[in-house]
Amino acid sequence: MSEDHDFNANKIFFGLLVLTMLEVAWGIWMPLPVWAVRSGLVIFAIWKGYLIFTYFMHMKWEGWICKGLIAPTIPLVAIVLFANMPDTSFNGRLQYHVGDQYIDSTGDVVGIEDAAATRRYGDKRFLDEQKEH
Amino acid sequence: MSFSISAYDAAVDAPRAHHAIYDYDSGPPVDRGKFAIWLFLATEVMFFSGLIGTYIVLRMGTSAWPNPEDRLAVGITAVNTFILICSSWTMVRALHAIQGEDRRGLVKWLGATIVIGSVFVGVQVYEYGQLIEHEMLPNVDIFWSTFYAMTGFHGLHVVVGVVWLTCLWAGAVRGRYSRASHLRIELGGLYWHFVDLVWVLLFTIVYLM
Repeated sequence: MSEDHDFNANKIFFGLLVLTMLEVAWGIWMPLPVWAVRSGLVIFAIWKGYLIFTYFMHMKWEGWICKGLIAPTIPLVAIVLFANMPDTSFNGRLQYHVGDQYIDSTGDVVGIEDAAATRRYGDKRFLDEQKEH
Repeated sequence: MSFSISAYDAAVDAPRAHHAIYDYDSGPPVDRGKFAIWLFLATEVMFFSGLIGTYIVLRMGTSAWPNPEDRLAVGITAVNTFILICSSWTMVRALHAIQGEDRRGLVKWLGATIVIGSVFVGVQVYEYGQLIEHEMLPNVDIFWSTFYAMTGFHGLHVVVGVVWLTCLWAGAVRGRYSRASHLRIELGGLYWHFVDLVWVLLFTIVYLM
């Protein structure tokens, strides 16, 4: 980073802005299954992180020592996440409290499982069906 | 018993003729400061990975997770994310300014970075204030515990960054940095970009997923 590196900071900045807008739009309005929305969000986040890491932090031009200092964190992060897998996979044993949720579009306060379901099926239709039952 | 204090002999400390083999540097072929900051950032990666890993465990351990959009002001925070990205851009401009021996440019862009970073912190404090006013406290449920833990630790890093950059700015005003000597600006910039990078990930995980 100590030398002048030829890259267009404005271009990277504009790219980050566009990606952020697309990411927010994707996360809020994209009518896709939850897994597809989340996968897209992860891709957007990694893409933005890559741009910052590579260009703004000048990693593209750093030598092997700086790269070697940061590279071990990749397997270490993987180990941390995989080490947590036994806990995350035993869902039935871990039950943390999540409070009731106010649904803004309907004005109802519902349990968190119902609130999550409204997210999947659409607020109004789901709650109307619940009331009918 | 008598003591004699001899006069300082400059010849003792004077450079002497020696073999070129002794002109080596035992350290790694990179600036010490840069070596240290990357090592520090590696530990920071692990710190935030621990937080995110814990978040995943706790989130998977609930029967259902709230829609962040129902609980958080996603729009305001999206704008705040934009603000932090702007501050990264101004930081890049500050570094480019001093690399071009533009000392006034350094002061200007570094000052802009500090102001924008402070705005980010201000918006986060406002968000916290609104949540606390509505009694959305960390002890209400697991959503709020993880939310405050992750955004709080990140906010703390931003505050440290703002203080750090302010110290650099004070040095820049006094003309302390030049094209030949601006390593401290680089190191502060690396930390600031890292804080931005972490926020990009946290925003996605906490506010959008």
